[in-house]
Amino acid sequence: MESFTDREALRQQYLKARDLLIAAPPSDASRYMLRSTSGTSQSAPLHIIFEMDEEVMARFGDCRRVFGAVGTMSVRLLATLFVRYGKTPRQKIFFASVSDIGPDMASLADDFAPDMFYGFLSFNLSVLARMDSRALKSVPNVLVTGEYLTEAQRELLAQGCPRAKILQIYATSETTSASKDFCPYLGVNTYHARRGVAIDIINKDEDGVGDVVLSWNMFRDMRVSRYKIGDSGKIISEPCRCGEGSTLMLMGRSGFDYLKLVGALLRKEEFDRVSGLCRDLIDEYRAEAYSVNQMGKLLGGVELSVYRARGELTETEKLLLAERFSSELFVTPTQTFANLVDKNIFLPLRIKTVAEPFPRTGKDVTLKMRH
Amino acid sequence: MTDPLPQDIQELLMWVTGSSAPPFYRDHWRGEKTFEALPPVSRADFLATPLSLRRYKDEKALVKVVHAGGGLFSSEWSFADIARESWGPLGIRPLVYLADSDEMLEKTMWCYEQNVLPLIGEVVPEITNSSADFYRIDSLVTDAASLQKLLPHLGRRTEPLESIAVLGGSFDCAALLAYARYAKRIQLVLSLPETGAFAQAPLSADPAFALLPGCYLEKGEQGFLLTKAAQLVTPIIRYALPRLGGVRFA
Repeated sequence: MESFTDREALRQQYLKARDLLIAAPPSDASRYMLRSTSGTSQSAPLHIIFEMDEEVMARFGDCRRVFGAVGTMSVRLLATLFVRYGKTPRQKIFFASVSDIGPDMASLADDFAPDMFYGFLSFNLSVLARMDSRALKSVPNVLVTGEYLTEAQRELLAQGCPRAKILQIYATSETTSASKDFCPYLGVNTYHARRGVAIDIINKDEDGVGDVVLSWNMFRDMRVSRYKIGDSGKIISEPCRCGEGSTLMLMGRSGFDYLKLVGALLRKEEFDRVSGLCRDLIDEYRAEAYSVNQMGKLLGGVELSVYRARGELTETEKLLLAERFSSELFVTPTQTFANLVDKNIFLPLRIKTVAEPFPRTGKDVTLKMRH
Repeated sequence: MTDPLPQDIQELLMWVTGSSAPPFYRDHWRGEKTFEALPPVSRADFLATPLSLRRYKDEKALVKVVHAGGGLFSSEWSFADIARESWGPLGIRPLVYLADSDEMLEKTMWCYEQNVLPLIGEVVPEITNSSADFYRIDSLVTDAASLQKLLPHLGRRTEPLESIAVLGGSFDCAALLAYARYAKRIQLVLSLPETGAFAQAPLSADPAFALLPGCYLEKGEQGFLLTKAAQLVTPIIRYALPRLGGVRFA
């Protein structure tokens, strides 16, 4: 049976690391950083100690002026440490706070003249949408982290920064950088593991997609082994043109970018794609997945709440939408939602109309599990 | 200011008016040569002048945003200058927790520059209190508003902190004295985002602030004028301090 480190075991490892740190404070503080994750609805915050190496510190490469769009203080600190202790001379960093985004900040950003726009994807897009900065529009490099990049988001980024090379880092709260930087042969959401990090997949489906587990050097000689990071992905074993032997293809974040239910994979990107095909019927959607016990058998279900500015759907339109959505939505590599309804794995798609646009609160959670 | 001018101020003035220096102070002074007659500079002047036109040196740095009366301006601080800021005290495991996120980041980097591993606070107080417990902090760098949010952690401690440094432009000493039981010593540090720290005093009912090394204060018509001898990215020369709320200098 495969063993892996769960969150509680990781917490215990960090407590041990904390005790070692207190007993023997570092002779060089610059190699370390403390951070805390916000936790989840099922768990308390996780307190983390990082030990960093030169590869991690080279995050911003040769860029001289980094304009950052990250919200949490620990990520700002980490980026600042990269600038301070990285090898590029006269490198500078400037962060935007959410509350400051506007015309005044646009002027400051223009004066700063960044050559890299760095941040959490959703924050980058928010800055571009809300701030008319000539400098950001012409920035040569955009480095995004923290979220799975959909095709639609990539297009938005490319529209906002048409001259930019769009780069991605696979980084997690627990590991900081898990990926090597900037292989020129890799596409979107694909990464090579950086030195000291091992990436594996468990619970694979027929297409090799499963849960990503990471192993990494945590602190001094302590190593975390096979921690389920909460992402879904697959390993491509063919060697990359750069010489790396394997590549992680990331499929998304569990509970946000995708959900697993009764053997099917419900992906936010797929829901976005199909809702785009139904633009004649709906303007916005929110999907809620659930499971029901029907005479001892667990069935999956999805309720689609929809909004249309020109008025709620009629009963006929709701039936039409349900049929079209079900027949277009792939939930396995080869089967649609309609296929799995026919096989009595899912209940028929339910459609609910709402009279008002969905409220916008930070991350757009369009797909979630009903608890 | 003493006559003749201190050596470090003379060097600062030569640096600022050198041929390769930006024109910000030269233009502001309009040919005036006598130190006491140099027109004071203020937040309004920084607000009106982009950072690129008052950047006197190019080093590894972080840029902060300063909120000033309806506008924003940038204040760039080289890591070398952050390291040279001479305020304190600092323990071995400090928590840096300030309401201004840019200040919080800069003061955290100051800890690193002293080769001390700090904990940086987060916006959510519950996470900050929890991480303070985890790291078993022994000292605090904070401001009056943020100190209040740390009461859960302070209340759980079995021993007082080694020190608390409270940063700001003014202090309600009576209110801060209520925290005296949480630390062996509490230091008040006068500091603004664009000037850095310039004076400090132990907390008491009526503290007398002592200027930090390299900081000079003049009493002008409208208030105090601060000059820092350090050759900062945007030097501070006869800078008109905002109202300091009844602060007394030793």
